[in-house]
Amino acid sequence: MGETVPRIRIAQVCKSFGTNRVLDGVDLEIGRGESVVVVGPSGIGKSVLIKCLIGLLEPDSGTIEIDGTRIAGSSLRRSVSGRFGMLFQNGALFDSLSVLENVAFPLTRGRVHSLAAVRLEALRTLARVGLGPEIASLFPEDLSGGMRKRVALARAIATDPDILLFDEPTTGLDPIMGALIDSLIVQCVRESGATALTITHDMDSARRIADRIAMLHAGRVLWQGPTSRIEASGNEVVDRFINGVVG
Amino acid sequence: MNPLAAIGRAFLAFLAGTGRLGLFVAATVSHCVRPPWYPRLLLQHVIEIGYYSLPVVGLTTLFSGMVVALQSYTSFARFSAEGAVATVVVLSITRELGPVLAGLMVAGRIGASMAAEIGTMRVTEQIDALTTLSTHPVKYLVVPRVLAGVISLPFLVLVGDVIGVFGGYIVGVYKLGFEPVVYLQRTFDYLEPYDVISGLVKAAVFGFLVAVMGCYHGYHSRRGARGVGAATTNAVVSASILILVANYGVTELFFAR
Repeated sequence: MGETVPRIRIAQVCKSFGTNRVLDGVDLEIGRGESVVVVGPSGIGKSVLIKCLIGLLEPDSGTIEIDGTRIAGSSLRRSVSGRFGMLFQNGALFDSLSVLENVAFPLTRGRVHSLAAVRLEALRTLARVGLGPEIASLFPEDLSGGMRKRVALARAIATDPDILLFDEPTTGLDPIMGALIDSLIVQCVRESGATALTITHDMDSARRIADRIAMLHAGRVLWQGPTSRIEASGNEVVDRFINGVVG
Repeated sequence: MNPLAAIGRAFLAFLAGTGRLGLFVAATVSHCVRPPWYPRLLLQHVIEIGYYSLPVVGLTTLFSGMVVALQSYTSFARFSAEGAVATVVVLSITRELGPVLAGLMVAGRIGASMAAEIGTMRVTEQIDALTTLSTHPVKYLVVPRVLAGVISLPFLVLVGDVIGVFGGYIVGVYKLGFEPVVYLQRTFDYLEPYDVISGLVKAAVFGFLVAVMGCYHGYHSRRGARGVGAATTNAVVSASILILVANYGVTELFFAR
């Protein structure tokens, strides 16, 4: 029984803003240790889906379960929030804190950053994303876009969460830096054995990260399957999207 | 367009805004009494509000004390009551001018910066990031600022009171020719602890209002630079108006017989 319960189960989730129905019955299951990428054009509701999952938005209807426990609209939401790690589109690093304090934040929940053990753990996490201790005292504004993303990734994985969420991880980066971030994501997910959900419109990135790809269209999951099969999906909308065909 | 519908829409928007503010204040107060607390952040904001606002509050109260001395002297001379200058200066500074001017100055300096900082954090998803890191944004961002406002303003006003009275003394002694000892004696002759305490209570209320309005408008800032700009303006305007309204309320509470 325990083997068959998916880590994340999203069922018939709907979310509207005024008269605009963004999610219209999304169904998606993600197994333990699996990396799923949700693709779709900008503005299709990918970010809304991830925000519903993490509790920043409450779905109008439908269920979201973690390990078989319903969390949407439930008081259990807070108890599972510590199991998520999220990489935001623009990093969302705290600009009033140094790099070290940013990475140490999930370890201390914003309280004392000066403890030696916390500092060591934060430096170790920075090393996992290929950053040395020399940048620890810098502030986010002193970093390039790629470095900011790597620090944000370090912050997301600092507590080794069960579930990692990546919101457009390669947006705003050059192709080489994008590929580097993708490889770091794959490495971190493999090392920690976490379940990963990524949303992106970058198909190259999706192919590098995903075990399985799901395409969001008109508020629903239009197609999903192993990454290797997306070229032969047989779905016209998916073909148009992955080949960048307008119209 | 139907004018009645427009009035109705505006009224509903006002009610929704008031409700949102009420919930925000309730959440802030409830998080104030529940751990975890962030003493380091509280200290940081006390220094920011209390210490770094000293020059602007000091200058404001200094010149206000000087002006009150000069104005009351020239007015009271019409009915030969120049001797009351020192009393008028100390009562008007401690009861009214100290807290109100300090409140308005801090609203401009701190309320605006709180709204801009928290608004920028909202726009750049830093507030969402806090939530995902199991940290309640109200507890981490709003509570330390509001507590710092309530703690710092009374101290700031106390210092401002002393500087304001000193401003009146300078004008009274060096320009209007009062004897220093007589001026000081008259300053304290009619001053009751109640006068100073009422001013300090007002200051604490104003500190609360400035911080809450700064945080509220920043927290609910709309997207983009325009949203943050509007949040900053709204924070200063609403805090200033509320200070003047609350000033009447607290005065009525203390002095209406």
